[in-house]
Formats: sequence, structure tokens, C-alpha cells
Amino acid sequence: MSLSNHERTEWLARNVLPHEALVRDRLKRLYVATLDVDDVIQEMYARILAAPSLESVRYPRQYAIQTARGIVIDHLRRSRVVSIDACENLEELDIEFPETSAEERLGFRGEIQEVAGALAQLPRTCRETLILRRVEGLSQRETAQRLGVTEKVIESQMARGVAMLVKVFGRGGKSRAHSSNNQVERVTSEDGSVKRRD
Amino acid sequence: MGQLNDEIDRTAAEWAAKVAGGSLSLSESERFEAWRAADIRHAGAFARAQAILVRLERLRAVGADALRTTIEEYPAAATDPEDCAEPQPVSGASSAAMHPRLLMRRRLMVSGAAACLAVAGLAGVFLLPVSSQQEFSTGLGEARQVRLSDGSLVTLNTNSKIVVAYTDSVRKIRLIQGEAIFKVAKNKQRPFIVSAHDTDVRAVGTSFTVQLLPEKPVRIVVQEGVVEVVRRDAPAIVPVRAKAQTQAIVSGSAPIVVQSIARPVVARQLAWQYGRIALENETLADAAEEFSRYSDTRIVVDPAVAGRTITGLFAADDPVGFAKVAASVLDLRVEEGPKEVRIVR
Repeated sequence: MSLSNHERTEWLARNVLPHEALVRDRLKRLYVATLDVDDVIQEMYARILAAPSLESVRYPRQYAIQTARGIVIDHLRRSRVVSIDACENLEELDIEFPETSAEERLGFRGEIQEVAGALAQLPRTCRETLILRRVEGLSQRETAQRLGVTEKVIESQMARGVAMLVKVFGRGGKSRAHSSNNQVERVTSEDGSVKRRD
Repeated sequence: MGQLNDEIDRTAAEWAAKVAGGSLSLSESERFEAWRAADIRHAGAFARAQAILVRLERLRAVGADALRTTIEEYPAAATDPEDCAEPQPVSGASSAAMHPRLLMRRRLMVSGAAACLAVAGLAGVFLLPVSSQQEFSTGLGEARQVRLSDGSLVTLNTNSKIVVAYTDSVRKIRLIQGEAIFKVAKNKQRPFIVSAHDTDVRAVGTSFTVQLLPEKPVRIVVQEGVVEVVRRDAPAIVPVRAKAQTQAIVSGSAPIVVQSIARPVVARQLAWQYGRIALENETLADAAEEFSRYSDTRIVVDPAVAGRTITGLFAADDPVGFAKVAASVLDLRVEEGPKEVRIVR
């Protein structure tokens, strides 16, 4: 129990959330008819949150995949309809891929773009609520005052925003490794002009 | 079945919002715990919802304004879908399609070059046993988190060193050099004192940063709560109390100065937690000095251009990457040498 609950959540945010789409993708390719991918993903988060020595995990993406694999195996055992196909496919989950590429570790630019891109799809009030609360760090009351609404509204906007982001990040989002190759680096100079570098 | 998962995700988001709001009544918190324990998927969905909130929080170092500006560049944001039902997935394509016309006012610039050592370093959190004195340090470009025996969390920035000396009555830490953030576990009976040279910073339960850099005054930035700053060596200098969003500057024989400091500025100054250096209209000379704290590759700036300013978020351990971006933005050139990179006209 060396990590606090908040640190574990932070770990999930940093190391699992960005890979959810990839894990999901791999699970879908298993073609296990009785398997509900959403169930596995939700359970994966719970298992990782409760894992005893998270801080020693060196390859989080692989770890997430292994965790998902464990859940699938349990599912197959319980359902007692272990098809040979499913077992063979399971090995596919094990395929290793390099995890320490510079691109993936630098990440921050991609992270900003990804979060900005996701937030852009939210209704304005919803988006502002999330930004004021989480990025500016205002309290619920301060946020309510700033937006001229009740605290209750702030709470429901938060809930709505999170639910939407779950979809955006998890369901559709591509893993960073796939999505960053066509990004253009954008920088600005003193006079505010934008330059592009490929 | 998918319907059911959506339902779980929605409920999880509602709980996450409630918990974040901090207004959970006793009966609500019982209902929440019962819900979470009822199904492992509930626990997982809740963990993910919280992780999303944390992910947003991680952008504090970038600042809300810069984030908003980036958001504005997405066509989706411009149309303001107040009734948007199904959000579209994030993809590389959408970021490539960013609106070039909308320039970034408060610029957000990111070095795209190297991997970020400091973040990797932060991934490991060490638990240390109770003991009388212990020393922790980081090398150039490293950052490290240490969980102390009382539950307090110390994050060491680059090239920093602390000595922890806990007793039953007091939690004493000496900052020998560098910079560290202290998230102090509450314990009124056992004050938490950080000493930097002759300055003592006392806290009960709070979060603050102490900086002790060569030839600079001792600087304390308070993120949460209140700390008391005392000059042990000079009783004539009046101790001060510094509260959240203020900084205390302690130098020579001058009185201790407390200044308020805007939240985004605090966040920017703590960007190193994520292995970043955040600059806002800093001169190249200042930027070079900041980078020198993290790497033994020096940035040498041609005096003729040392006053030019730059804004952006950069990988702290990649001075060469920074120099290249800065040069390209400011129409300058970079010359690379061994352990040195020059920014010249």
C-alpha cells in the first residue's frame, strides 16, 4: 500500500487512459462471442486500481493488456465454453511492442492536443465547467459564481462532461502512437505570427 | 449489454462529480460505497471517471487560457454544439485539421523533440521506513518523489538534495540545495519544518515549494494552506505568514517579502513536476539559465539577441530541442557543439 488512492488514480490517468482505445481494439479482435468488451475495460480499471505494487510497473501499456487478458481468461473459465479459437487468439494479446519510444514518452504535446480536441466537442458550459474546476482549480462554489449558475448545475455539468469524455477518450480515441504522425508542430513568435515546422 | 455499460459510466460520472464537489453527505457516501462495491465494473468505471478528472488537472501547468486557445482551433468548438449528442472520437485527423486562421493569442508552444526524463523519474514513488536521518537527492535533469514515514510527499526537482530528520515531536527537513515541493500530512502535534540556510518554513498541513538556488534569495511558494517563515539567524527580521497563492522571498538582511501570485503562475512554476519548463515572455537569457538547472548541455545565447522573449512549454531535459524551436520562432540560428548549443543571429 505505498500509493495513495489519489496517486493510483493519477497513475491510471497517465498510464492507462491513453491506452484504453488500444486495449479495446485488441479485445475486439479476439472475437470471443460471449465477451463484452466494455465489461472487461471497466473491470480492468478496477483491477489496476487495486493492484498491490503499481509503482513497480515499468510497462504500463503491456500491464493493462495483461490485466485485460486475465479478465478474459476468467470469463472463459466461468462460461465453460472455451473455444479453441479464443485460446489461440489470446496469444495475440501477448504480442509485445516497444513502449519506450520517444514519441510516446514525450507525450505532453499530444496530451494537450488530445484533451483540447476532446473538450472542443463538449457543449460550451460543460467545457468551461471542467476547465474552471480542474485546470484553473476553482472550487465548485467559485465556478458557479463565475458562470452565474447554481452549484447543482456545476455538479451536473461536471458529470455530463466526464461521461462524454469517457466516450471520447475510450471508445473512439486512437492511441497516441497512431495519431501523432500527422500533427504539425505549431509555434508562435513574439509578434504572434504562427510558423509551422513539419 | 452495451446499454448497461453506458448506464454504469453515467452513474460513475455522477458520483465522480459529486465526490469532486466535496459535498457528499453521510447517507450519500454510504450509497456511493454500496454502489461501488456492488459490481467490479462500477468500481472500474468510477476509477476511470476520476482518472479523466485527473487528466484534466494535469494540464494545470499549461494554464487554462492556453488550453482554451488550443480548443478554439478545433472547428467543433467554433460551432458550439450546445446540443451535441454524440461526441466524435479524437483522432490525428482532427488535430491536423486545426483552424490555421485562429492564431494563438497566448501562445502555447511545445518542444517536440526528446523524451522526458523527469516524468519517467517521477513514475517511481519510494516508500521509506521510519528512521532518524535520511538523505535524498537528484542529479541534473532528474526529478523524484519520496513518500515520508508520516505520509507527507516530497517531490524533488533537478539537482536537489534534502536531509530528513524526523523526531517524535517535530518533522524536520533540511533543503541543502535545489527545489522541492512538500505536501504535508496534517499533524498539529508534530510541526513540519523545512530549513533552507537560515530560513525556517513551518507548516502543519499544507503544500508549498521551497527553492534554494545559488546566488538567489530563498523562495517559498505556497500552493495550499498557510506557512510561517522565520529567520533563525536574524531575530530582528520579523517572521511572516504566507498563505496560499503567495510567495515569500528571503534575502540577506532585508525584511521577508510576501507577494501574491496568480494561480496560473504557480502552476507554470511547477511545470517541472511533469518534466517541463513553462516560459511566458521570458528572455532567452533567462530561459538559458532555467535550462541550465536541468542539463549539463549549456545554452549560450548571443548577447545581441539575449533580450528576445519566448513563450511555451518545453521538455526540461532537452536544451537542444528548446534552442532549435526558439531559433526557428525568432528567426535565429543554432550552432551545436560538445555540451553546448549556441543561439546566434
